[in-house]
Amino acid sequence: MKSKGLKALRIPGPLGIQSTIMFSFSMISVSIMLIIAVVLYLRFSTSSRQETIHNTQRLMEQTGESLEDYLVSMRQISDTAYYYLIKENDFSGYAGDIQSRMNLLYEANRDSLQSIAVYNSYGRLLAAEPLATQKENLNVTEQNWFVQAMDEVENMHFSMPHIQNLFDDNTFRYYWVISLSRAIEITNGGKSELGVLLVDMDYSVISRMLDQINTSENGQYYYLCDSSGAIIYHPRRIQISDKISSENSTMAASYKDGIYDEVFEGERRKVVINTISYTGWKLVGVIPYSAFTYGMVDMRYFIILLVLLMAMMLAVVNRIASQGISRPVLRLNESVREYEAGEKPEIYIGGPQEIRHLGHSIQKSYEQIEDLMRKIVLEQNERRKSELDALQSQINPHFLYNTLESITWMVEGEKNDEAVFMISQLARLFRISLSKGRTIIRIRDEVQHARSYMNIQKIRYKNTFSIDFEIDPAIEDYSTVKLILQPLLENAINYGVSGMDDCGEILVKGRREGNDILLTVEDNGIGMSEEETRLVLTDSDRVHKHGSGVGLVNVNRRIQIYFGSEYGLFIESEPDEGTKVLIRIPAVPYTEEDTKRLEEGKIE
Amino acid sequence: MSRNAKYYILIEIILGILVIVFAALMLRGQEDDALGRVSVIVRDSDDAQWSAFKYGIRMAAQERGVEAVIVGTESILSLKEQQELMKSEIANGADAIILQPVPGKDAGEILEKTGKQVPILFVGTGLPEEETKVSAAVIEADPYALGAALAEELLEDYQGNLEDKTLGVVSLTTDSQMTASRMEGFQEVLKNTGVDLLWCVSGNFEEGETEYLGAQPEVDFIAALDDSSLTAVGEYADSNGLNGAVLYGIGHSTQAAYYLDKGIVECLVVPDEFSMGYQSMSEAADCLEHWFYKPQGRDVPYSVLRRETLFSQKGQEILFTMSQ
Repeated sequence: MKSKGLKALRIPGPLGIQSTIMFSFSMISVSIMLIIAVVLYLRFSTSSRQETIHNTQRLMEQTGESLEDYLVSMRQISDTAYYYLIKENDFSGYAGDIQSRMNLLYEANRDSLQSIAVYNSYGRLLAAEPLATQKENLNVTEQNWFVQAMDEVENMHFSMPHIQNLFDDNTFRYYWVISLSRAIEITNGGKSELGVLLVDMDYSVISRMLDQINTSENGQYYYLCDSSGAIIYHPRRIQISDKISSENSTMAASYKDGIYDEVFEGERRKVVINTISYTGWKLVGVIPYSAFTYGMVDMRYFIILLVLLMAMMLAVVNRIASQGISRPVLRLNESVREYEAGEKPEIYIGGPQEIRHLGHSIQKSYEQIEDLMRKIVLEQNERRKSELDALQSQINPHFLYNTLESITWMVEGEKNDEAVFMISQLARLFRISLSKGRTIIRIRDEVQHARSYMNIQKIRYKNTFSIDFEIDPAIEDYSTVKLILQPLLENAINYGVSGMDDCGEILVKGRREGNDILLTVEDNGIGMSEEETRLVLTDSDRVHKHGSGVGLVNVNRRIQIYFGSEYGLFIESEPDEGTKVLIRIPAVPYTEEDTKRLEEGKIE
Repeated sequence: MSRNAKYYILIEIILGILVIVFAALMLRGQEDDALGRVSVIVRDSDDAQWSAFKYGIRMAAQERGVEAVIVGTESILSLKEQQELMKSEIANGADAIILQPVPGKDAGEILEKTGKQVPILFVGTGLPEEETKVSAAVIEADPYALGAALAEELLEDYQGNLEDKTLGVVSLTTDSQMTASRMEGFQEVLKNTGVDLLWCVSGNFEEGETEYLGAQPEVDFIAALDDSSLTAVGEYADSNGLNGAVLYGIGHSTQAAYYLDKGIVECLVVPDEFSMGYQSMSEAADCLEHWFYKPQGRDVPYSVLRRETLFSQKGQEILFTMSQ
């Protein structure tokens, strides 16, 4: 259970190249898309917000102008009624004329007018249009419009909307009006007296005007209030009066024309103010912040939809692109894996130039590795063979037989000292040959081996040749492959000086030259032709006429296996002049470490 | 199939599903302009007495984005006709019904069946207790309180002394829960005041039926328990007088206000019909917005108007709603 949990928590391993490319592409694409989407959305919403505010302002300006026009027309009606009808005529003599001209004025404006009426200062109705019965027991002097007119006689007064409480037309209807009242001078019976001219404006004209702009479904609305914040028109007028809803009209009334930000009942909103001239009324446009995003839900969905579709498309494109890029790499990887698994497929070479180059390189590397492996195997085989050959040379039965024959002969001839010498030389020869199984020995031992061998051979060949060793003592403690001088000496005896009568000379030299050690075996024997000299080191299949059968080829190969191809044998020979065989080996001091390294074939 | 291919297909499937979901949301947003459709079935729906109520319905519907349909009805509506109207409205796509229930036998059972299809809200009156199988919410001005308020105004006018006074009561129906409750409240307050209830007349007073009023014995007060009766009595009084009887009534039309303004009606108790319409539509909208919403019954306020307060701020607001 625990291990399962840990397994689940384990950090996943590195992703594949295709996954990495696709993931990277996807992340970049999605990030760019999201940034673009957010920027577009912000840009769009900002411009939409500005557009909404701008439209609101424009609409309010138009509506404000319409309202002002309407109010101006009402004032003009009032002016006309006063200056052209009332002021110029005496009510006592021209009441009928005034009435008919008022009727004309009313008929010309009846769409926007509720009534026109003239009262004297006691509240008695002098004239009214349309003609209607005044309510019984009505005291207009207590009504606000009358009081206002009489209080400030020099001004025209617009009242708040109210139910007209003047006439009884038997229709069971109550009219919602805004009264425009003014104090007037009335001439009645030649006497001038104060009165009030009332123009009742149909409230529905204003409400219709504002209803027309209050059609927005986004929560945006417009209302009209007076300079104290009392609501004249509001789309939720009754809800506000019933306390179901509320409005920040008092605050709005204190604003000057412009755009304001406010928070009302926890809702952020923009308030646009437009003051209606003369009345001081404020036309207020309210744009809740939610209105800016209204209808943008669809836009959000659309942008999300667009982003998703683009993501789908990009996933396809990214997959194709990542496959295009990664397929050659994956195929190369697969072929390498198969190769590693032991199969021998062709290394994939294809795709872009870089991958092709990589394929070529890998293939070439594998080929080189294979070649090297083959060489190593071959060298190992050759080493084993040369070791075997060397071993064989150590126990050359013919040499041993001859030597033992010589010793036997010496013992029989009572040449005991010589026999002892012979036996001791043979023993030393074999001891060095064996060298506890080592291949790398000191040059001193190798020279000693050669001496012992030559001592035995000299006795066998009855001193028909001379042997001389000129070995620089300084090189005696350097390393060499064992048993390299003996085959050369054997060849020098067999092919060089054996047929000569007491004048055969063999000279063994040893010296250091730079970083190399040079050992030479020279004889003054019959020598070889140039062709023979060339074949000595190249033709390993030559049949040996004499000797142990361990040819110079073998010696040369052994030196090169242990020290490198730049080392080995170099032969100079002239027919009837003699032969000089040069052994070149590196100057490697005989230490345990170096010996071990050389034995393992590690040459620096 | 490789792991990459599986992931790729999985991502494409998830993105595809999201595309479908958002496309559906976008299309649904474009289609769903209205929250739903609410049908309003009240008796004599074209009558002026419903002006304020319909204004309230319209305002709430506009605010909540609901399509409101006022079903045209006659002054007399039988239970069967009401049932047919409801069926027809549901068939026409009504998502909720605001109903002034018609009293009658099995009314509860019939409404219970319909109530299973769409939410029903009662306005103006509920059903009698024996018919309360339907758990529909009732939005009304408390009829008992209205009746009691009317009686209290009468008592107040006479300083609580109605000894040897006579009373006649006029109502549209006698079998409705609304009339019964108003009558109960009215009588409860006047109990032990010494007033003598001489007669009770009910009917819709059309086509000269108001003449019945003239045939009734003279009384000191007449109480009209609903708008129809009040306007009928007011109309009769305007033409014929009431032989000195003082008229009190419950009403909510401009005609009732007119008779108050003219002095024919002494006192008018006005239930807030605007609130009734507004709140009933708001409740219906809540039902449409929230599937598991259980509509709540509400009592709407009422006002007492007299001639001198008819043009007060409050009186003008009431007249405003009645005039819409």
